[in-house]
Amino acid sequence: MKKLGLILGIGALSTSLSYAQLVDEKNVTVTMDLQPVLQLNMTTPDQIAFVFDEIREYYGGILKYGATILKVSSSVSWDLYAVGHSQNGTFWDQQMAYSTGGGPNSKNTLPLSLLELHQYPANPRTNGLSGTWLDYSTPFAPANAVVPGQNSVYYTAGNPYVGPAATEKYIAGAAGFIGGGGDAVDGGSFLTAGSLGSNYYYVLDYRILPGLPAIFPAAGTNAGAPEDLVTLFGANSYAQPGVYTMNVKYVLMEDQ
Amino acid sequence: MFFIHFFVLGQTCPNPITNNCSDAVAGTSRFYLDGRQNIDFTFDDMNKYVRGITFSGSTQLRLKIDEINPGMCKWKLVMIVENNGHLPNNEWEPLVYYGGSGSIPNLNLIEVSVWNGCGTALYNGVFRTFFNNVNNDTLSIIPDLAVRNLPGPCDGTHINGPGSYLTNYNEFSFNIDYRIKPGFALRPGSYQIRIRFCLVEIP
Repeated sequence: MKKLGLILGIGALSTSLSYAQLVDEKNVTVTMDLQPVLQLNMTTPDQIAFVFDEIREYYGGILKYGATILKVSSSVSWDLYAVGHSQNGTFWDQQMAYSTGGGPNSKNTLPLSLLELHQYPANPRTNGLSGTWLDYSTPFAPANAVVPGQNSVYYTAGNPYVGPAATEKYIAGAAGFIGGGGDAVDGGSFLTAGSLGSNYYYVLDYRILPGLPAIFPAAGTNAGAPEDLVTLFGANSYAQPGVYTMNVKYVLMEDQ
Repeated sequence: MFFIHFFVLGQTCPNPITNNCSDAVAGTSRFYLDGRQNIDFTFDDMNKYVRGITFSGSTQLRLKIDEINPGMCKWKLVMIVENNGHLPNNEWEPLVYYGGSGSIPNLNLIEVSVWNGCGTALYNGVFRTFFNNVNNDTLSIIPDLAVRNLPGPCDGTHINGPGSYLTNYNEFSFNIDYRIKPGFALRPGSYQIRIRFCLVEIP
Protein backbone atom coordinates (compact mmCIF):
# COMPACT_ATOMS: atom_id res chain seq x y z
CA MET A 1 0.00 0.00 0.00
CA LYS A 2 2.88 2.32 0.81
CA LYS A 3 4.46 1.44 -2.54
CA LEU A 4 1.23 2.23 -4.36
CA GLY A 5 1.00 5.57 -2.60
CA LEU A 6 4.60 6.34 -3.51
CA ILE A 7 3.98 5.50 -7.16
CA LEU A 8 0.85 7.64 -7.25
CA GLY A 9 2.78 10.45 -5.61
CA ILE A 10 5.53 10.27 -8.24
CA GLY A 11 2.92 10.17 -10.96
CA ALA A 12 1.22 13.22 -9.60
CA LEU A 13 4.56 15.00 -9.32
CA SER A 14 5.60 14.18 -12.87
CA THR A 15 2.24 15.35 -14.19
CA SER A 16 2.66 18.58 -12.34
CA LEU A 17 6.16 19.07 -13.77
CA SER A 18 4.94 18.33 -17.27
CA TYR A 19 2.26 21.03 -17.10
CA ALA A 20 4.83 23.50 -15.81
CA GLN A 21 6.99 23.25 -18.89
CA LEU A 22 6.51 25.79 -21.63
CA VAL A 23 6.35 24.12 -25.02
CA ASP A 24 3.73 24.70 -27.67
CA GLU A 25 3.49 24.78 -31.40
CA LYS A 26 1.28 26.17 -34.14
CA ASN A 27 1.25 25.14 -37.78
CA VAL A 28 0.51 26.63 -41.14
CA THR A 29 0.29 24.67 -44.35
CA VAL A 30 1.73 26.22 -47.46
CA THR A 31 0.40 25.05 -50.80
CA MET A 32 1.97 26.10 -54.06
CA ASP A 33 0.06 25.60 -57.28
CA LEU A 34 2.31 25.92 -60.29
CA GLN A 35 0.08 26.02 -63.33
CA PRO A 36 1.69 25.73 -66.75
CA VAL A 37 1.59 29.07 -68.48
CA LEU A 38 2.57 29.61 -72.10
CA GLN A 39 2.08 33.06 -73.56
CA LEU A 40 2.86 34.04 -77.11
CA ASN A 41 2.65 37.74 -77.81
CA MET A 42 2.57 38.51 -81.50
CA THR A 43 3.00 41.89 -83.08
CA THR A 44 1.85 41.76 -86.67
CA PRO A 45 -0.73 43.20 -89.04
CA ASP A 46 -3.98 41.29 -89.23
CA GLN A 47 -3.25 40.64 -92.86
CA ILE A 48 0.05 40.75 -94.67
CA ALA A 49 -0.76 41.69 -98.24
CA PHE A 50 1.50 40.94 -101.17
CA VAL A 51 0.27 42.87 -104.21
CA PHE A 52 2.06 42.04 -107.44
CA ASP A 53 1.23 44.81 -109.84
CA GLU A 54 4.62 45.56 -111.35
CA ILE A 55 6.89 43.36 -113.38
CA ARG A 56 9.90 43.94 -111.10
CA GLU A 57 7.88 42.56 -108.22
CA TYR A 58 7.37 39.34 -110.12
CA TYR A 59 11.08 39.12 -110.86
CA GLY A 60 12.45 40.17 -107.51
CA GLY A 61 9.60 39.18 -105.24
CA ILE A 62 8.14 41.19 -102.37
CA LEU A 63 9.74 41.13 -98.95
CA LYS A 64 8.10 42.17 -95.69
CA TYR A 65 10.88 42.77 -93.23
CA GLY A 66 10.08 42.37 -89.57
CA ALA A 67 6.40 41.96 -90.32
CA THR A 68 5.90 39.68 -87.34
CA ILE A 69 7.53 39.79 -83.92
CA LEU A 70 7.01 36.87 -81.57
CA LYS A 71 7.59 37.27 -77.85
CA VAL A 72 7.44 34.22 -75.61
CA SER A 73 6.83 33.82 -71.90
CA SER A 74 6.55 30.33 -70.53
CA SER A 75 6.79 28.62 -67.18
CA VAL A 76 7.67 25.32 -68.84
CA SER A 77 10.05 24.13 -71.54
CA TRP A 78 8.61 24.87 -74.97
CA ASP A 79 8.78 24.57 -78.73
CA LEU A 80 7.63 27.11 -81.31
CA TYR A 81 6.80 26.46 -84.93
CA ALA A 82 5.04 28.05 -87.86
CA VAL A 83 2.56 26.13 -89.94
CA GLY A 84 0.93 27.11 -93.21
CA HIS A 85 -2.72 26.23 -93.40
CA SER A 86 -5.69 26.75 -95.72
CA GLN A 87 -9.11 25.41 -96.56
CA ASN A 88 -7.74 23.92 -99.74
CA GLY A 89 -5.44 21.24 -98.41
CA THR A 90 -1.85 22.10 -99.20
CA PHE A 91 -2.76 24.92 -101.60
CA TRP A 92 -3.72 28.54 -101.17
CA ASP A 93 -7.41 29.43 -101.13
CA GLN A 94 -8.36 31.28 -104.27
CA GLN A 95 -10.80 34.03 -103.32
CA MET A 96 -11.19 35.51 -106.76
CA ALA A 97 -9.83 35.02 -110.31
CA TYR A 98 -8.95 38.14 -112.33
CA SER A 99 -9.51 36.62 -115.72
CA THR A 100 -11.61 33.95 -117.24
CA GLY A 101 -8.89 31.47 -116.60
CA GLY A 102 -5.78 32.82 -118.19
CA GLY A 103 -5.50 29.98 -120.59
CA PRO A 104 -5.24 26.22 -120.28
CA ASN A 105 -1.89 26.32 -118.49
CA SER A 106 -2.88 28.73 -115.74
CA LYS A 107 -3.22 27.10 -112.34
CA ASN A 108 -5.16 28.28 -109.32
CA THR A 109 -3.61 25.67 -107.04
CA LEU A 110 -0.63 27.44 -105.57
CA PRO A 111 1.41 25.45 -103.04
CA LEU A 112 1.57 26.81 -99.49
CA SER A 113 5.33 26.34 -99.62
CA LEU A 114 5.69 29.36 -101.89
CA LEU A 115 5.58 31.53 -98.80
CA GLU A 116 9.08 31.97 -97.45
CA LEU A 117 10.02 32.95 -93.91
CA HIS A 118 13.21 34.22 -92.40
CA GLN A 119 13.71 34.31 -88.65
CA TYR A 120 16.13 36.07 -86.34
CA PRO A 121 17.69 34.77 -84.16
CA ALA A 122 18.22 31.15 -85.13
CA ASN A 123 16.65 28.17 -83.40
CA PRO A 124 18.67 27.75 -80.18
CA ARG A 125 17.67 24.13 -79.49
CA THR A 126 17.86 21.83 -82.50
CA ASN A 127 18.77 18.45 -80.99
CA GLY A 128 16.80 15.76 -82.75
CA LEU A 129 16.01 17.73 -85.90
CA SER A 130 17.14 16.02 -89.07
CA GLY A 131 15.77 18.08 -91.97
CA THR A 132 17.88 19.78 -94.59
CA TRP A 133 17.10 23.04 -92.81
CA LEU A 134 16.45 23.10 -89.07
CA ASP A 135 14.81 26.53 -88.95
CA TYR A 136 14.18 29.64 -91.02
CA SER A 137 17.40 31.42 -90.13
CA THR A 138 19.09 31.01 -93.54
CA PRO A 139 18.89 34.31 -95.43
CA PHE A 140 16.62 34.40 -98.46
CA ALA A 141 18.48 33.20 -101.52
CA PRO A 142 18.80 35.75 -104.36
CA ALA A 143 15.99 35.68 -106.87
CA ASN A 144 18.34 34.52 -109.59
CA ALA A 145 19.72 31.63 -107.50
CA VAL A 146 16.83 30.31 -105.47
CA VAL A 147 17.14 27.19 -103.32
CA PRO A 148 13.77 25.39 -103.36
CA GLY A 149 12.46 24.70 -99.89
CA GLN A 150 15.20 26.55 -98.03
CA ASN A 151 12.86 29.08 -96.47
CA SER A 152 9.51 27.56 -97.40
CA VAL A 153 7.00 27.55 -94.61
CA TYR A 154 6.13 24.20 -93.09
CA TYR A 155 2.58 23.30 -94.03
CA THR A 156 0.10 20.54 -93.48
CA ALA A 157 -3.36 19.62 -94.63
CA GLY A 158 -3.90 17.81 -91.36
CA ASN A 159 -4.06 19.04 -87.79
CA PRO A 160 -1.88 22.13 -87.57
CA TYR A 161 -1.61 21.79 -83.81
CA VAL A 162 0.38 18.61 -83.99
CA GLY A 163 4.04 19.48 -83.92
CA PRO A 164 5.98 19.03 -87.15
CA ALA A 165 8.13 15.94 -87.64
CA ALA A 166 11.83 16.04 -86.93
CA THR A 167 12.47 16.53 -90.62
CA GLU A 168 10.68 19.90 -90.63
CA LYS A 169 11.64 23.38 -89.50
CA TYR A 170 11.06 24.76 -86.01
CA ILE A 171 11.47 28.37 -85.03
CA ALA A 172 12.62 27.24 -81.59
CA GLY A 173 12.96 23.78 -80.11
CA ALA A 174 12.54 20.46 -81.83
CA ALA A 175 10.18 17.59 -82.38
CA GLY A 176 9.37 15.17 -79.57
CA PHE A 177 10.81 15.05 -76.11
CA ILE A 178 14.41 14.10 -75.61
CA GLY A 179 15.14 15.78 -72.29
CA GLY A 180 18.31 17.41 -71.17
CA GLY A 181 17.29 20.74 -72.61
CA GLY A 182 18.72 20.24 -76.10
CA ASP A 183 15.39 19.89 -77.85
CA ALA A 184 13.41 22.62 -76.14
CA VAL A 185 13.85 26.13 -74.89
CA ASP A 186 13.79 26.38 -71.12
CA GLY A 187 11.00 28.24 -69.41
CA GLY A 188 11.55 31.97 -69.26
CA SER A 189 10.29 35.27 -70.53
CA PHE A 190 11.35 38.02 -72.87
CA LEU A 191 10.53 40.31 -69.95
CA THR A 192 13.56 39.11 -68.02
CA ALA A 193 15.75 37.51 -70.69
CA GLY A 194 16.00 40.59 -72.87
CA SER A 195 14.45 41.23 -76.22
CA LEU A 196 16.13 40.86 -79.60
CA GLY A 197 18.84 38.24 -79.47
CA SER A 198 17.36 36.26 -76.61
CA ASN A 199 15.69 32.90 -76.98
CA TYR A 200 12.31 34.49 -76.24
CA TYR A 201 12.06 37.10 -78.98
CA TYR A 202 11.91 36.38 -82.71
CA VAL A 203 11.57 38.62 -85.72
CA LEU A 204 10.03 37.12 -88.86
CA ASP A 205 10.45 38.34 -92.44
CA TYR A 206 8.25 37.16 -95.29
CA ARG A 207 8.93 36.77 -98.99
CA ILE A 208 6.93 35.67 -101.97
CA LEU A 209 8.85 35.29 -105.21
CA PRO A 210 6.59 34.55 -108.19
CA GLY A 211 9.20 34.79 -110.94
CA LEU A 212 8.24 35.17 -114.57
CA PRO A 213 6.40 33.23 -115.65
CA ALA A 214 4.85 33.04 -112.19
CA ILE A 215 5.80 29.55 -111.10
CA PHE A 216 7.20 30.36 -107.64
CA PRO A 217 10.62 28.78 -108.07
CA ALA A 218 11.55 28.96 -104.37
CA ALA A 219 8.69 26.72 -103.27
CA GLY A 220 9.80 23.33 -102.05
CA THR A 221 9.81 20.78 -99.30
CA ASN A 222 12.24 20.80 -96.41
CA ALA A 223 14.09 18.00 -98.15
CA GLY A 224 14.81 20.35 -101.02
CA ALA A 225 12.32 18.89 -103.50
CA PRO A 226 10.96 21.68 -105.76
CA GLU A 227 7.26 22.48 -105.61
CA ASP A 228 7.13 25.15 -108.28
CA LEU A 229 4.13 25.02 -110.62
CA VAL A 230 6.06 23.46 -113.48
CA THR A 231 7.29 20.66 -111.26
CA LEU A 232 3.81 20.12 -109.86
CA PHE A 233 1.68 20.54 -112.97
CA GLY A 234 3.95 20.22 -115.96
CA ALA A 235 5.66 22.45 -118.47
CA ASN A 236 4.26 25.90 -119.25
CA SER A 237 2.16 26.02 -116.09
CA TYR A 238 1.85 29.37 -114.37
CA ALA A 239 -0.25 31.02 -111.68
CA GLN A 240 -3.71 32.22 -112.54
CA PRO A 241 -4.11 35.93 -111.72
CA GLY A 242 -6.36 36.46 -108.77
CA VAL A 243 -6.63 36.89 -105.04
CA TYR A 244 -5.30 34.12 -102.86
CA THR A 245 -5.15 33.73 -99.13
CA MET A 246 -3.53 31.40 -96.67
CA ASN A 247 -3.09 31.32 -92.93
CA VAL A 248 0.13 31.07 -90.97
CA LYS A 249 -0.27 29.81 -87.44
CA TYR A 250 2.44 30.26 -84.86
CA VAL A 251 2.09 27.53 -82.31
CA LEU A 252 3.75 27.60 -78.91
CA MET A 253 3.58 24.24 -77.15
CA GLU A 254 5.00 22.63 -74.07
CA ASP A 255 7.83 20.25 -74.81
CA GLN A 256 6.77 16.97 -73.29
CA MET B 1 5.09 1.04 -30.47
CA PHE B 2 8.13 2.67 -28.99
CA PHE B 3 9.33 3.53 -32.46
CA ILE B 4 6.05 5.21 -33.38
CA HIS B 5 6.07 7.21 -30.19
CA PHE B 6 9.64 8.30 -30.79
CA PHE B 7 8.85 9.23 -34.36
CA VAL B 8 5.97 11.45 -33.33
CA LEU B 9 8.12 13.19 -30.78
CA GLY B 10 10.81 13.69 -33.38
CA GLN B 11 8.38 15.61 -35.57
CA THR B 12 7.28 18.01 -32.86
CA CYS B 13 8.94 20.82 -31.01
CA PRO B 14 11.97 19.93 -28.91
CA ASN B 15 11.18 19.04 -25.32
CA PRO B 16 12.25 21.56 -22.72
CA ILE B 17 14.56 20.45 -19.93
CA THR B 18 13.58 23.12 -17.45
CA ASN B 19 10.38 23.98 -15.61
CA ASN B 20 10.67 27.70 -15.15
CA CYS B 21 7.81 28.96 -17.31
CA SER B 22 4.14 28.21 -17.12
CA ASP B 23 2.72 25.81 -19.65
CA ALA B 24 0.90 27.35 -22.62
CA VAL B 25 -1.74 24.63 -22.70
CA ALA B 26 -2.64 23.73 -19.17
CA GLY B 27 -0.89 26.62 -17.50
CA THR B 28 -1.36 30.36 -17.76
CA SER B 29 1.01 31.09 -20.64
CA ARG B 30 -0.58 31.48 -24.05
CA PHE B 31 0.54 31.01 -27.64
CA TYR B 32 -1.89 32.14 -30.32
CA LEU B 33 -1.72 31.86 -34.08
CA ASP B 34 -4.05 34.13 -36.05
CA GLY B 35 -4.61 34.32 -39.76
CA ARG B 36 -4.97 31.70 -42.42
CA GLN B 37 -3.65 28.27 -41.60
CA ASN B 38 -3.50 27.45 -45.30
CA ILE B 39 -1.31 29.74 -47.34
CA ASP B 40 -2.12 29.15 -51.01
CA PHE B 41 0.26 30.35 -53.68
CA THR B 42 -1.36 30.01 -57.09
CA PHE B 43 0.83 30.82 -60.07
CA ASP B 44 -1.58 31.07 -62.98
CA ASP B 45 -0.24 33.90 -65.08
CA MET B 46 3.13 34.98 -66.29
CA ASN B 47 3.34 38.11 -64.21
CA LYS B 48 3.15 36.02 -61.05
CA TYR B 49 5.95 33.82 -62.30
CA VAL B 50 8.09 36.84 -63.14
CA ARG B 51 7.63 38.87 -59.99
CA GLY B 52 6.63 36.17 -57.51
CA ILE B 53 3.84 36.27 -54.95
CA THR B 54 4.12 37.82 -51.51
CA PHE B 55 1.61 37.44 -48.70
CA SER B 56 2.20 40.07 -46.06
CA GLY B 57 1.17 39.49 -42.49
CA SER B 58 -0.64 36.27 -43.34
CA THR B 59 0.23 34.81 -39.97
CA GLN B 60 0.27 36.57 -36.64
CA LEU B 61 1.70 35.08 -33.45
CA ARG B 62 0.85 36.40 -30.01
CA LEU B 63 2.60 35.31 -26.85
CA LYS B 64 1.87 35.55 -23.16
CA ILE B 65 4.67 34.08 -21.08
CA ASP B 66 4.26 33.62 -17.35
CA GLU B 67 7.07 32.48 -15.13
CA ILE B 68 6.96 29.96 -12.33
CA ASN B 69 10.43 30.37 -10.92
CA PRO B 70 11.08 34.09 -10.59
CA GLY B 71 14.06 35.26 -12.60
CA MET B 72 14.48 31.97 -14.41
CA CYS B 73 11.93 31.81 -17.22
CA LYS B 74 13.46 32.15 -20.68
CA TRP B 75 12.22 30.96 -24.06
CA LYS B 76 12.95 30.70 -27.74
CA LEU B 77 10.72 30.73 -30.81
CA VAL B 78 11.63 28.88 -34.00
CA MET B 79 10.16 27.89 -37.35
CA ILE B 80 10.55 24.38 -38.70
CA VAL B 81 9.83 23.39 -42.29
CA GLU B 82 8.46 19.93 -43.06
CA ASN B 83 7.65 18.08 -46.27
CA ASN B 84 5.65 15.20 -44.79
CA GLY B 85 8.58 12.84 -45.11
CA HIS B 86 8.84 13.16 -48.88
CA LEU B 87 12.09 11.99 -50.41
CA PRO B 88 14.46 13.43 -51.48
CA ASN B 89 14.21 15.35 -48.24
CA ASN B 90 15.09 18.68 -49.79
CA GLU B 91 11.95 18.88 -51.92
CA TRP B 92 8.36 20.01 -51.44
CA GLU B 93 5.82 17.23 -51.22
CA PRO B 94 4.17 16.82 -54.63
CA LEU B 95 0.38 16.49 -54.54
CA VAL B 96 -0.27 16.35 -58.26
CA TYR B 97 1.70 17.04 -61.41
CA TYR B 98 0.36 19.10 -64.33
CA GLY B 99 3.24 18.48 -66.72
CA GLY B 100 6.31 16.43 -67.34
CA SER B 101 9.18 18.85 -67.61
CA GLY B 102 11.01 20.77 -64.92
CA SER B 103 12.32 20.06 -61.46
CA ILE B 104 10.58 19.68 -58.11
CA PRO B 105 10.78 22.81 -55.96
CA ASN B 106 13.27 22.74 -53.12
CA LEU B 107 12.44 23.60 -49.53
CA ASN B 108 14.62 26.69 -49.68
CA LEU B 109 12.27 28.17 -52.28
CA ILE B 110 9.95 29.73 -49.75
CA GLU B 111 11.05 32.98 -48.14
CA VAL B 112 9.80 33.99 -44.74
CA SER B 113 10.02 37.34 -43.04
CA VAL B 114 9.18 37.81 -39.36
CA TRP B 115 8.71 41.22 -37.85
CA ASN B 116 7.15 43.19 -35.05
CA GLY B 117 6.98 46.79 -33.96
CA CYS B 118 10.02 46.65 -31.72
CA GLY B 119 12.15 44.57 -34.05
CA THR B 120 12.69 41.81 -31.54
CA ALA B 121 12.73 39.06 -34.17
CA LEU B 122 16.00 37.81 -35.53
CA TYR B 123 16.57 39.52 -38.89
CA ASN B 124 13.42 41.50 -38.24
CA GLY B 125 11.53 42.15 -41.46
CA VAL B 126 14.12 40.49 -43.70
CA PHE B 127 13.11 37.65 -45.98
CA ARG B 128 15.08 34.49 -45.23
CA THR B 129 15.08 30.98 -46.61
CA PHE B 130 15.48 27.62 -44.95
CA PHE B 131 19.00 27.66 -46.29
CA ASN B 132 20.02 24.15 -45.16
CA ASN B 133 17.36 22.99 -47.60
CA VAL B 134 16.38 19.85 -45.73
CA ASN B 135 13.29 18.49 -44.05
CA ASN B 136 12.96 19.77 -40.46
CA ASP B 137 15.30 22.66 -41.15
CA THR B 138 14.94 25.40 -38.53
CA LEU B 139 14.97 29.17 -38.57
CA SER B 140 15.09 31.14 -35.35
CA ILE B 141 12.70 33.94 -34.61
CA ILE B 142 13.86 34.46 -31.04
CA PRO B 143 17.16 32.58 -30.76
CA ASP B 144 18.49 30.45 -27.93
CA LEU B 145 20.24 33.18 -25.96
CA ALA B 146 22.43 32.87 -22.88
CA VAL B 147 21.06 36.10 -21.45
CA ARG B 148 17.51 36.83 -20.42
CA ASN B 149 16.05 39.97 -21.97
CA LEU B 150 13.05 41.47 -20.27
CA PRO B 151 10.43 43.47 -22.17
CA GLY B 152 10.41 47.21 -22.28
CA PRO B 153 13.32 48.62 -24.26
CA CYS B 154 11.71 48.25 -27.70
CA ASP B 155 15.07 48.72 -29.36
CA GLY B 156 15.52 45.52 -31.33
CA THR B 157 16.62 43.45 -28.36
CA HIS B 158 15.52 39.83 -28.68
CA ILE B 159 13.06 39.73 -25.79
CA ASN B 160 12.94 36.24 -24.30
CA GLY B 161 11.73 36.72 -20.76
CA PRO B 162 8.24 36.70 -19.26
CA GLY B 163 5.71 39.18 -20.53
CA SER B 164 2.60 39.48 -22.59
CA TYR B 165 1.25 40.85 -25.83
CA LEU B 166 -1.38 42.50 -23.65
CA THR B 167 1.14 44.81 -22.05
CA ASN B 168 4.02 44.79 -24.54
CA TYR B 169 2.33 44.08 -27.82
CA ASN B 170 5.23 44.97 -30.08
CA GLU B 171 7.58 42.63 -28.23
CA PHE B 172 5.29 39.63 -27.84
CA SER B 173 3.59 39.57 -31.20
CA PHE B 174 5.05 38.61 -34.54
CA ASN B 175 3.85 39.05 -38.10
CA ILE B 176 4.89 36.57 -40.74
CA ASP B 177 5.23 37.37 -44.44
CA TYR B 178 5.66 34.68 -47.07
CA ARG B 179 7.15 35.05 -50.52
CA ILE B 180 7.77 32.64 -53.39
CA LYS B 181 9.54 33.47 -56.63
CA PRO B 182 9.33 30.22 -58.58
CA GLY B 183 11.29 31.16 -61.68
CA PHE B 184 10.75 29.13 -64.83
CA ALA B 185 12.48 25.82 -64.19
CA LEU B 186 9.95 24.06 -61.96
CA ARG B 187 7.65 21.24 -62.91
CA PRO B 188 4.01 22.31 -63.07
CA GLY B 189 1.99 20.83 -60.27
CA SER B 190 0.65 21.32 -56.79
CA TYR B 191 3.05 21.06 -53.89
CA GLN B 192 2.81 21.37 -50.14
CA ILE B 193 4.93 21.99 -47.07
CA ARG B 194 4.16 22.72 -43.45
CA ILE B 195 5.76 25.33 -41.27
CA ARG B 196 5.71 24.76 -37.52
CA PHE B 197 6.13 27.56 -35.05
CA CYS B 198 7.64 26.20 -31.85
CA LEU B 199 7.67 28.04 -28.56
CA VAL B 200 9.95 26.32 -26.07
CA GLU B 201 11.40 27.39 -22.77
CA ILE B 202 15.16 27.13 -22.47
CA PRO B 203 17.60 26.94 -19.53
